[in-house]
This record gives sequence, structure tokens and C-alpha cells, in this order.
Amino acid sequence: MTRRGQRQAGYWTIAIALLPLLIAQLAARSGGWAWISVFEPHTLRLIDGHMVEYETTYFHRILGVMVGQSVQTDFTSAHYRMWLTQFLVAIPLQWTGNGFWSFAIVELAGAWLGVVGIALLGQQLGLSRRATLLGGGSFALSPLILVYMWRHQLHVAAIGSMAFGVGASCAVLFGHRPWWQRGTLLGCIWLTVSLLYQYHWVVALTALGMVFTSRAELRVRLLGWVGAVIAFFLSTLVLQALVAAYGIPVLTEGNDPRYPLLRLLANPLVAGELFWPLRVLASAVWTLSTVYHPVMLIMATLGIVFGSRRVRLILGTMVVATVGFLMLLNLDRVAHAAYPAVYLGAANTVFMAPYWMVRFARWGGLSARVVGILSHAALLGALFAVLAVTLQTNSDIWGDYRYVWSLSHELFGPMTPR
Amino acid sequence: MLPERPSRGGRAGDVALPVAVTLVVAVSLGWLAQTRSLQFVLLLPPSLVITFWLLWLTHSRSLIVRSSAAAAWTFALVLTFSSSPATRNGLAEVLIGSAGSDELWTTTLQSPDQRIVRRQPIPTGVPAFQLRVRYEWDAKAAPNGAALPRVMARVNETELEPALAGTDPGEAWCCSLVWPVQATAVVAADVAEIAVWLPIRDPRVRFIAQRNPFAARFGQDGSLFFDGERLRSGVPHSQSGTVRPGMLHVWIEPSQ
Repeated sequence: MTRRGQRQAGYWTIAIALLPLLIAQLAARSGGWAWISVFEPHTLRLIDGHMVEYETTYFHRILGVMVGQSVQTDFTSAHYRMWLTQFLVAIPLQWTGNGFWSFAIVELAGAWLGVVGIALLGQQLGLSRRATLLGGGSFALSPLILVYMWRHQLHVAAIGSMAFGVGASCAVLFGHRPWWQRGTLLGCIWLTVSLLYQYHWVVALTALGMVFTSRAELRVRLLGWVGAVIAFFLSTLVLQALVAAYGIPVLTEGNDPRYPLLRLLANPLVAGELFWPLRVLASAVWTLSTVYHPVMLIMATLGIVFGSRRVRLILGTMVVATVGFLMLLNLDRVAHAAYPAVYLGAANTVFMAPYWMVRFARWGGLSARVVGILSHAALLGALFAVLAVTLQTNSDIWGDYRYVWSLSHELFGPMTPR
Repeated sequence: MLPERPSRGGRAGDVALPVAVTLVVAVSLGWLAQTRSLQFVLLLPPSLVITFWLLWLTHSRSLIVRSSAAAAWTFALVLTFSSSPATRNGLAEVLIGSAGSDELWTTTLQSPDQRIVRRQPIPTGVPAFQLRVRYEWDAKAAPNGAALPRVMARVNETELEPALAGTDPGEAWCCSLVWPVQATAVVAADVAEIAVWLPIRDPRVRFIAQRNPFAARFGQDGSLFFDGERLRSGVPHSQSGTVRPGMLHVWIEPSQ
């Protein structure tokens, strides 16, 4: 195997090694212990004898059509945005007739897709395998997916699509193909992501950051990106025409009154809205800050700012794009789009720390080698301790579940202690 | 992690294979769903997306391997959506709860002496409260024309007006009984004790409970059962005849 092949295999090993960790973390909340039972017990339902959330009913009719059981369904923008995952649910459902496990297997696969995406992105960013392992482990053990698991509304797979979309885009843009092939492949990746949820906007903007990471092949990457935009819009138009031809309503998201930026653009002179761009921006940044733990955010910022040029441009663009997306649709779940930047950025800080410590030691006259070894050992020990605590507490280290409560707060107002 | 090497299948294979596979997938699905055009529309785009990924991920393999993978995928697709060895059921009915479930169950009270009891901390600064009791309405459990059952509730020492069950089965969050609760009934104590019972036994009213007791601040001590003689920690599970840890879907919340 070539050196490059060995390097790639190492990152695959990371993704495979994290799978048991992911399953262990999610399995701990199965069997009626899902987080949804804590913060929204009134939304619980049963399917095939297992607890899910009422939103599973959204997919009832469409899955009926897919498996050939019925001939009519509604098809909203939510169905469009999860078209691919519904199809993947329909396959095991057709064979087994068990809806609960059909959803579960697709959700688990989607979560793992996120881990694969982080491994892929770590490789493309030039991060070490240990840093990538830590970033992937942070995601696998994060409350982000745990909060949505076992609800069976396909958000776990949706979250996974973000990292995978960015990682795959990176691999294509930094590959060795002519621009039109890169454009076509990128367009197909974005289309896939757009049929898994709606993170394609952030993925596409992050890809623009990838374009400008170096002067070498800048023109090819830029042409590829432009080609991808065209390919994505054309393929989306074809899909829209297809569903419209069957009388299925086209997407209506643009009219959604929850879009604060669009609403304000329509009424820029409303009293008290003189500084509306700043207000909307501040609101978006605040939402982003409530979804991740402050320690994680600080570490991610350091890891991005002091990272390599590629890290700065790609992860930085991802965060900016997420904030922009939040300005359009100010929901906590939109802020999930930044998780590859947060977890890989934080991991980068951890593994950059020995470098800074060694520099400090040199300045202080200590043996750089001794300090380097000790600091690495201490960091790895801390990493394993955090992982152990995380497993014990279902990710509730540092009280991370305040995120859960903020989500429920958003949906139902201040929670009453029950 | 994604293949970079050019295909060994050559230029002709690179173009011809995806086109051929796309056509085969489309024609196969069209043939399968010839009388169900909507099924065809819903299955075709995601099938082609999967086909794309399959071809890409096998891009560095030989033409034989790629063709075999594409043929296997198409065959699996046709087999899945034409005939299935298992059931052809769609998604099973989504239930509010069921008597036999261990995760989210419904339970009846067997006598007027029995009560389900909740203990709940009361937040400060809330101007008005209401008591919510979630239940499943099992209309088939009593003959047609039977009078609607009354449900009684008490919060601390204050007994609330009887409420009629079975009047809201069409409600989106079916079914909830809601009583307004005077602030004076709850703010006097930090913890409210809520008791709910049926003055006349009626199997149509099935109270809802869940396995995870930690949705309640007091955990396993927040849901209790008075069996007519003594107060026991836990929730009745009438089908198994046990009282087990869980959380009753009974709580006081701010008025809406």
C-alpha cells in the first residue's frame, strides 16, 4: 500500500473505530430512555411497541406510497428535504415491516455518516489522526445527535449529512480532476445533502472558502465551484418540475414567516428596526453560542484562528455561513451546521497545545523534549478521562444538556419543573 | 477516502456505464410502478442518487466490478419494491400508548379507592396554573351510549371540580383533561401533591405513563400509586398487574 493509501486507511480506521462508541452512546438512551421523554413527554407516541415522537406520523403516508401500499400522499418541503432518508427507510420497512427499526437503522447510519465526514474533513484539513479522532469522538459523544436519536423524525441522519457534505466537497475540490468533473460531482454532493436536509447552503458556502485556500489551481477550483452551483440548481429545478408535474406543491420555505432576515428585508423601515441587520446578526450569534458549550466554543475559536491557512479558511467560512444561515432561519437546529468546525477546531487546539508549551519551555530554559512528552501524556490522559466521564453521564459533562432545555424553551416557552 | 484514481474501465466505460445504469434503474422502477405513477416519482430520484454514489465509490475499480455492483443494486431495488418475502405493510399505526408497552403504557384504575398521585415542585413567579392529565380514550371498553365518566382531582388540600373525560378525542394531542388551578392552592407549599381518581370505575379512561421517571424533578419519588390501602412509589401497569418505576403524564403547568 502506498503512503497515501496508508494515510487514507488510517482515517477510515478512525471512522470505523468510533462506530462502537457511537452505538454505545445512543443505545444507552434506547428503550424508553430517549431525551425526548424528558423534555417533551406529551409528544411521545408508540410504534411497533417502541417509544418515538409524534413527528414520525409525518412519514406515514409517504412511506405507504413508497412501499406500494397506498396511492396518495402529501409532500411538503419537509418531505422534500428528507426524500433520500425516507427512501432508505422504505427499503428495510418493505422487507421487515418493522417501522421502528427501519427508522433506527437509517438514523444510526446517518449519525455514522457524520463521523465519516469528520474523519474525511480532518484528513483534508491536514489535521493529525489523533486530532481527527478527538474531533470525531466529540461528535459521536455529543448531545447533538443524542437529543434527536430514537425520535424517528430523521434529524440524526440530517445532522450527519453536514460533515459528510463538507468532507466530500473538500475531497472533490482538492482532487485531481478537470473543473467540469469537479463541478458535476460537487453539484451531485450538494443535491444529496439537500435531500438529506437543508445544510447544502452552508456546505456550498464552505466550499467557496475551500476555493481560496491556495493559489495553486485556484482557477480550476473556482470554475468547479461555479459549475457546481449551476449543476445543483439545474438538478433541483428538474426535481421541482417532477414533483410539480404530479400536482405536489413546490417548496414554500421562502415564504416562511420564521425567516427573520426576509421578514425584515420586507419591512426595513419598521419603527425600532433601524439597526435590524445588527440585531439579526447578534441574535444569530447568540443562538450559535447557546448550542455548544462555552468551553468547546473557546477551544474551537483558538483552534481555528491559530490553525493552518486551510483550517482557518474552511472552518472559518463554515462558522460564518452557519451564522448567515441562522440569520435566515433562527432555529437552534440550524446552528448544528457548525459542528464540524466546533469539534475539529477544538480538537486542533488540544493537539496544538503541546507545540505552544514547548515554545514556552524553550523560553523558560526547560528541556523541550521533556515538556513535550509530559504535555502529550497529560493531554491524552485528559482525553480518555473526558471520554470515560462522557460515557458515564451520557454526554452531560459540564451540564451540556442545557442545550436540550434551551431547545424545549424555544418550542414551548419556559419549562415548568414537573 | 474517496477514490481519486482514474477508472481502469476507460473513457467509454466511464460514460456508458452511468448512463446505462441510470436508464436501467429508471425503466425498472417505471415497470414496477406502472399503475402507481406517484410511487415511481417518489422512488426514482433517491434511487438515482444512490446509484450515483455507488458508481462514484467504485470508480477506481474495474469495469466488471462496477457493472456487477450496479447490477446488484438494480436487482435489489427491483426485488425490494416488487415482491417482498416479509409483509408488505407500511408504517405501523402510531399509538398514543398501549396497555402492554414497557416504554409508554396506558393504565386504568380498578376501583374508586385507587388514586394516581404526583409530587411536583412549583415554580415561583407564575401568575396562574393549570393541571393537565393525559389519557387515552378507549371508547370500545364500554357499551355505546354509556354516560361519560367523571374524573376527580385534588391539588394539595383543594379538590377541583369534576371533569368529563371523552369529550376531546379529536384533539391533536389527544387526550388531555385540563383544570384551572388557583395560585393559592399551590403556592402555599413548595411541592404540590396531586391526586387523580375516578369516582366510578370506567375502563375507557386509560392514564398514560412512561418508563423514564427522570422527566420529573423528583424522579421515582414523583409518581406514586394509592392502591386503596397504602401509598406506593411507582406507577400502576394494569395489564401486568404491577406497580413499577415511571412517570405519570400528570402535571401542573403555567396557564396558557
